[in-house]
Amino acid sequence: MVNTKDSSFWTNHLLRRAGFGTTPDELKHYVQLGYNKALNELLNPKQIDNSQLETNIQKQNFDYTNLDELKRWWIYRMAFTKCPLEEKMTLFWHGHFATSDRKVKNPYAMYGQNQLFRKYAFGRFDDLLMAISKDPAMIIWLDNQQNRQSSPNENYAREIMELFTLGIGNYTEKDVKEAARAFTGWTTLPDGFFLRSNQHDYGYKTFLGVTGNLNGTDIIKILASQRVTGHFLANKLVKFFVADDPDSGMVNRIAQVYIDSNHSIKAMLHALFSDPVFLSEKAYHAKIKSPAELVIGSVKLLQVKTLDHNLPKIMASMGQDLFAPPNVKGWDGGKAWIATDTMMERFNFASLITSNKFNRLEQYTSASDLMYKQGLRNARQVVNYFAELLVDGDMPQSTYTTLTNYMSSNSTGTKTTKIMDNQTLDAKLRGVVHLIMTLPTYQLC
Amino acid sequence: MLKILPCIFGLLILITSTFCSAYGQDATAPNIFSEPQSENENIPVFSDNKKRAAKKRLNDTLGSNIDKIPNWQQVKMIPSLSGQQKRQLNVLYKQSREELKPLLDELKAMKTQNSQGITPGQNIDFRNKAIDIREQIVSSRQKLWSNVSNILTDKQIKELDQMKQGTLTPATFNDQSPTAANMMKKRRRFIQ
Repeated sequence: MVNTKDSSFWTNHLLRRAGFGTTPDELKHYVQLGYNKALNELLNPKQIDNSQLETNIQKQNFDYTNLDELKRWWIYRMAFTKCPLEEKMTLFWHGHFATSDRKVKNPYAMYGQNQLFRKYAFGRFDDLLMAISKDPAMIIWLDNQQNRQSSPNENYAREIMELFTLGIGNYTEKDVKEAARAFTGWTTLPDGFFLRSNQHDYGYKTFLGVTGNLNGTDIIKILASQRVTGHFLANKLVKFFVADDPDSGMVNRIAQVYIDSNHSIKAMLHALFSDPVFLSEKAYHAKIKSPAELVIGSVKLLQVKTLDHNLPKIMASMGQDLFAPPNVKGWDGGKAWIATDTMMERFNFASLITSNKFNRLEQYTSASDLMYKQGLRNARQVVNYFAELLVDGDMPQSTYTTLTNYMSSNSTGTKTTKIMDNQTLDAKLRGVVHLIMTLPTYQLC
Repeated sequence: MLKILPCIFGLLILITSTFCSAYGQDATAPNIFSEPQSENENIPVFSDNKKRAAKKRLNDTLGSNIDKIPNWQQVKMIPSLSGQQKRQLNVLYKQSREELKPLLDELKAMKTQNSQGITPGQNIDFRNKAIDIREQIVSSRQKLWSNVSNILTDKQIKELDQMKQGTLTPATFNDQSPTAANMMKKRRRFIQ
């Protein structure tokens, strides 16, 4: 730790970035572990018993051949998994290797790709790159099934360099053409990846200075071994997890880990979440929440158990349509999440989650139960409790005062010292939660 | 002063008891947004779960598999489907669509008529006609499925079921390295 804040403060910060926020119980668990052990748990999902999630998913009867159902399935996973970083990395890879069902038109292939991201989330980058290059959804998305010796299609060859590994400016047009030749014949049949040998170009190629009878596997190995690939990946990871404007020193450190660890994604993530920049005031509440982070985070913080079946559409209207990123570059993120229309959708979501639509009020624990359980005895304590829960207490004094005044006034707006009836109290609590959720700080993680 | 003390205690007891009863006693309730114990064994669910369950009940009541018979979009995704099977199935589904079109159009027209309001005297005839059409659709779809399952192997039907359940191993999609042996094996299968 590099500053004066305590371990629980940074553990909470870690879970907002390496996950989607926590329920109070989850936070308690991770805080008890301490920062380093919490990080290790996040980085080793295979050591966690997540069978309850799988059992619960079975009971939902999701149909994986239906796109809407597939979106709900992933939202459910993100919200209720015990391995949040695994899901966060799946989301990261979905943005990195952006593939959209709008073109693939095969939800089950999208499901397969999503599981692939989960499987290779923390392994060697080479293995992930190899698997994604043979993934049916990716092959269809970037037209590699049309890449034949007689008429090479350069789409995949170009994107694997520009978007997945090197970044623009680190390869030539000649490299694109040679890589395209190496990937000729890499196609998909109904039973998965298939190399059509009669369409593959077995001739000599020169790619990034290497000459030989190169095929797609060789191209992937060459690309993964480039120092610039480590830098490109590090930059994207830092941008995704730490700050929209990455610190160059930090990027260089993470890029070095890529080389030193033989391209281990887990090692990069460990270094990233242990870096002084990540554990600094500069990184705290410095990233705009993506719609996934906002929606899943709210569900977790408020422990919502009945999810609105329109959640995928709500996230799409905020600018993040799962399984349908806007283009090959994925989502821009950062300030691009915030626009007049998407901001309105965020406020509408806050209204929805605090209203009866989201949870049938008549069946819920009463407001007074909450007050009793949490030991909240006055308006100020109520505001403090929700400010702490929702924005980590990061709220200006003036906002505290305004919310306290709101909480301590009756339905006509007159300040009161009387104990409120349960109905008014409930409306006030929902009001306070709604107001905090529309604060600028709540849009940050 | 001593005379006032019992009054103060009495008042305190009154306030405390009022306060506690107003604030409830359920120590298990985490907060206002939590779902109560009982429904769905308290596991998180999507809000349309009841709708799905109702749909399932309706299908069970009708004794039909009207919504369980896989459509063409689902069947064509079976990983081990050969090109020939795909062509045969495509023809079957196309024929079925053509066969069902007049029935579905009629049902649609009836739904429109229903939404515009029908006279009470027409009710029973109207309902019987709808049931009749529905039965024809169900029977036609069952016939289709019988033909489709004659083309599919047991393994493929199992795969289809696994796809719908999400339990088909995605490894079949992506873990096949293009080694020479693997390539030749694949090639032989492709030629067959």
